[in-house]
Amino acid sequence: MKLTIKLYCIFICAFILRSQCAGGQEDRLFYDAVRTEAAGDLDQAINLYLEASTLSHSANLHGNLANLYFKKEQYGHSILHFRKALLLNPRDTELSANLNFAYEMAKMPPPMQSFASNYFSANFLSFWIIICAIIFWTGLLILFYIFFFKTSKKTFLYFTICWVISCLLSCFAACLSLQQQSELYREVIVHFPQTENNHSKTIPLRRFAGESNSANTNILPGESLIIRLGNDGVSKSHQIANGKTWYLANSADGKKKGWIREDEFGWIIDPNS
Amino acid sequence: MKNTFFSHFKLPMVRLIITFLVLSHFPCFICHSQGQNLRVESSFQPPSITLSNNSVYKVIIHGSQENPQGSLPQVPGLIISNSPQTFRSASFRNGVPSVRLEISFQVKPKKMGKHTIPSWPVKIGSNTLQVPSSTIEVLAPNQQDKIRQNAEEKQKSELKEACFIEFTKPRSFLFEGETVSGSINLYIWDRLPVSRIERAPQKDGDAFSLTELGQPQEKRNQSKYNKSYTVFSWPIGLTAAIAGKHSITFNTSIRVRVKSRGNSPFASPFHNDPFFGFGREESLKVTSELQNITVKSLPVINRPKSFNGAIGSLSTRSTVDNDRVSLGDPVRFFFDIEGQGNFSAMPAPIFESNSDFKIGPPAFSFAGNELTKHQGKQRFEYILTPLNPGLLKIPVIHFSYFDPIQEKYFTLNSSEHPLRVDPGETWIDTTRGELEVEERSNSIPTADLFQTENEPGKWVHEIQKTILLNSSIFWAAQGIPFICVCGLIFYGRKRKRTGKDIFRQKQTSLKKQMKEAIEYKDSTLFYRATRERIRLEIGSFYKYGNPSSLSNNEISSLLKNGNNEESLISQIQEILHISDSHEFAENEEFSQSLDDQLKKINGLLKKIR
Repeated sequence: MKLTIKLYCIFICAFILRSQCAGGQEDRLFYDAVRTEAAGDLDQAINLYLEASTLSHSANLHGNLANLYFKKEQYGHSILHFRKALLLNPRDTELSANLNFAYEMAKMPPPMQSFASNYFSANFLSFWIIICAIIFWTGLLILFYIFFFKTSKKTFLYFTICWVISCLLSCFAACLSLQQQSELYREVIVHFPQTENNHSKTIPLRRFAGESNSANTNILPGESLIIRLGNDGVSKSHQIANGKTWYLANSADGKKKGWIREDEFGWIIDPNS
Repeated sequence: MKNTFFSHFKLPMVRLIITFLVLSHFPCFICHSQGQNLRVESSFQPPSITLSNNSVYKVIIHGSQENPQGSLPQVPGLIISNSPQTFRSASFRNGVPSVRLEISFQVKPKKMGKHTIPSWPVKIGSNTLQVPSSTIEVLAPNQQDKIRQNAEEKQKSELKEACFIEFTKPRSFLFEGETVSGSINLYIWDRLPVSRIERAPQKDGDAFSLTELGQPQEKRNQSKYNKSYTVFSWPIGLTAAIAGKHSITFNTSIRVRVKSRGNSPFASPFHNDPFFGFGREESLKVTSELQNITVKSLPVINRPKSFNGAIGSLSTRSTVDNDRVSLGDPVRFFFDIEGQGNFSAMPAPIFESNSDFKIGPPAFSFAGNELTKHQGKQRFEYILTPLNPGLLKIPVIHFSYFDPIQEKYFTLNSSEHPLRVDPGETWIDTTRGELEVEERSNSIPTADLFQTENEPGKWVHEIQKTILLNSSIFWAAQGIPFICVCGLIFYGRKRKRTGKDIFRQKQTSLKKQMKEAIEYKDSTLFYRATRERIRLEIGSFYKYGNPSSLSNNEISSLLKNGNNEESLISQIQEILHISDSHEFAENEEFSQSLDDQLKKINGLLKKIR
């Protein structure tokens, strides 16, 4: 009996240890990064956070990473990771405040917060889809009930009109959110390449894909761009001879457009992940 | 040292008297004295005294009234007065005019024994004469002398208790540079006729510095030594300046009224003076007792680099007036030092400019006891100008002080204040006004920005959640309402096909008609609906093809076939009969009300089997 209990305990302990060892790689990297940051080695801390982000994501990870980039005055990277962190935890007011300050430091106005962008954003897509489904099915059930079990034709008529309008409105809201979602998947934040460190420069949007082309316009690090879609529904890109891929992008308001190199921006939602 | 005789004539009063006497008597006797022999005598009167009494040393010059010149020798054991009294006299003896000059010196013995003033020369005109030696015998004090001496000592002691300065030292030792607070109390006996205090107490002791004395606080009817006093208190801050053993006293002078005949309050029992308020005023010096204080040097071991001479029990606090500014805008940084210490000698902490801030010299302000500057709050206000945008940290001030109670050095640091420095406005977006107001109201303090999270939080594999439209669970969940709708349709169609729905509709309609008839008291309509309802419900119950065509007899036979009770059948027949009568004979003479009828009908129809 005692031997059985001992074996059982050993088995439980082994299971706990195994589960902790197996699932803690990103945790280990995160804690290492925090320690390194506390020791003052910001570059190494950034590398560790980035390594952890290849395994998994968390709002705190991207928040810390954004803070480090901010301290190194790389505002483009900082804004990019604040945006990622806010996608994971949209209600974090500290992240919002940090992002706004990073925009100020990057000498850019924060994105306009309108009613449509708030309530029909990608975050509300699931909400609107569920609302749409509820209205459709509930309305349909009531409609049939009235048809079969009630004699009043007037009630049936009025309810049918209301149901159709509600269905249309909820579908419209879901479509708006879906569109925002689609843009979010193609949204990128412009930043200087890691190799360059000139804060006074802007980043050009070229007329054609390639270094030697003249700039259509210039944008500041931290600005967001939307990668355009081709006719095939895929991001419009072009790979040049040196292996670099260029993307055709435009600003959110559509006023600025041009080709941008792949290392001059960061995806908020990486399509390759 | 010798007393010079003529030096007394320098005194204006004595010189005037002597001059007057000489001038007034000289013309009369000058001619007669020419022929008289010059002779000098000397003696003590009395020649024998006790130690506590005085005697008079007299020098008599016969034959001249001229001013003599000479030096009176000093005698150890005797105190001879410097202000002699002179007396000139002229007389006729046996018809011969005689003149003489008497000079009297007050003599006070210092010790017992025989004391002799030796012979000494005196010059009168062109003649020089020798003053003969004189001896005085000083005896031991008698009982009366002792009583008088005790009375004088008592009087002195009473005088000392009548007015005195009290200064209590706070500790037996101080540290060099340390400031302690205290007070100087001047006690004045209520019966002492003081007209005014001439000046505030003055310190006597170079090793200490004293803060400025302001107006004293006056307290009346303070009891001490069984006397009632008026106490004048001056709060002071005393700072030890030089290390070593030092003494300190305080003195002041007051004006007291004494009777005109008396010389001084010391010489007379002034408090018994019957001329209070009418006498003359004299200055009285009041001195405190000597206090010995050791001043220690500050320890050199473990002395912090930032120590600048602050000594006391202190605490610090630092604040900034703004935590968010635009680039170039000044920020006021306050460093407060609070507690007890040498605030008057406390220099400002060193706060140097760096690459992020330009720091100006501080402004001082003190809140507390301005006179002693020992307890209160010293504020140093620095103006900082940020030189770079970003989230900057205001440098930390290190402030060290020496605690004289614990005899240790302590170092306090200011808080690390974060400062958000905006790069400055480059353009103004008018549409952002409302948003900015909202942001400000929900704004997070700068101190809370850019904090590192220590825990990773919830891990997710993808930043963006899966779209619900792509979720199989979502589509599977749609099956539930779909099945519900299908079921409803099936049930509804089936129901329509069996005719149950029509029966229910008709039944409901007839019930409604009955209720309306009751409401409008229309018995014809009520019974018509009742008859139709009975036909419908009984016909449907026994599945008769066309219930509306049933006659009363057919209804009765259906009920009989259903083994219903006779009473039930007869009651239904009765209701049908009433209905027919109402319809065709228009007979309205029924005692039962329509409400009761409805209840009765409902009850009967429920009993059908």
